[in-house]
Amino acid sequence: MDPLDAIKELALRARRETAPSVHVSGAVLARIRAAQEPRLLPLSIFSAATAVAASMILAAGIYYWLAGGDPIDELLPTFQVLGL
Amino acid sequence: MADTDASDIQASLKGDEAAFARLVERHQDRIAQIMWRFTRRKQVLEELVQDVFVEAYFSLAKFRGEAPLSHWLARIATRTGYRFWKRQARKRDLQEQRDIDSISGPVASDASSAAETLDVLLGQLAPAERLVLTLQYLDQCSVKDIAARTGWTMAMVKMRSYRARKKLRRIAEKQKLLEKLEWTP
Repeated sequence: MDPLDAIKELALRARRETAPSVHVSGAVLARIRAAQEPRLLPLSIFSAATAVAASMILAAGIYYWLAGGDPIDELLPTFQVLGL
Repeated sequence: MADTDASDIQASLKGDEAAFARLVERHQDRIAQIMWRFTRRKQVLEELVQDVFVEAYFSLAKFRGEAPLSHWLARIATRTGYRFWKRQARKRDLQEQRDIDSISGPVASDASSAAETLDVLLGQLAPAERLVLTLQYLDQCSVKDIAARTGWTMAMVKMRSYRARKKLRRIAEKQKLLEKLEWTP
């Protein structure tokens, strides 16, 4: 006899088996609620801290840019000293 | 039932949890029956059934309603089970996979023993081959049905089925399966 025919026969018998009953609606709803809750993941904290640091550096950069004089004007006296 | 499903789907999409719970309760036995092909452990079965419904909830907006909800859930269940087998294969989960030497005869006429034996036999195959034969032998799916359930092309299903049967025959012959089962046709 072909072993595959035996396996098919086995499957025919196995098909009659009924699965254990499950009651999962409560657990499913709990998992859905948990998945929907906003979570503070380490990645989110790191992203927020990076964004804050970048904003501070940008603000400081703009401040010093505006506070500083024109670099061309600052160069001219040097040229005058050198007699150029 | 289809009308009830349709109204509960609409309500679920609007955030009505009770409506989704009704959908779960209506379909959980059928999904458990499908997932029982993927594991023989009750605790794992419950987790897999939950996985199916959680995925269904978050994909519900994509359900177009062209086919019954049970067909759509069966597709999600098949993919969930297949992913589970692939994970087990990667981890080589010995609890889930039993050795072919554990098969001994005579072959029982009761459905549970037959299912146990078949599970051990098909467990010797790669997940894709195992899936195609599980759907073919246990769920009596046609090539077209398997393609729909798995998302594979029909040519791919035929090729995997051919390879799986060839491999299974080789394993059965090598292990002297018919003698082990004391098979008398």
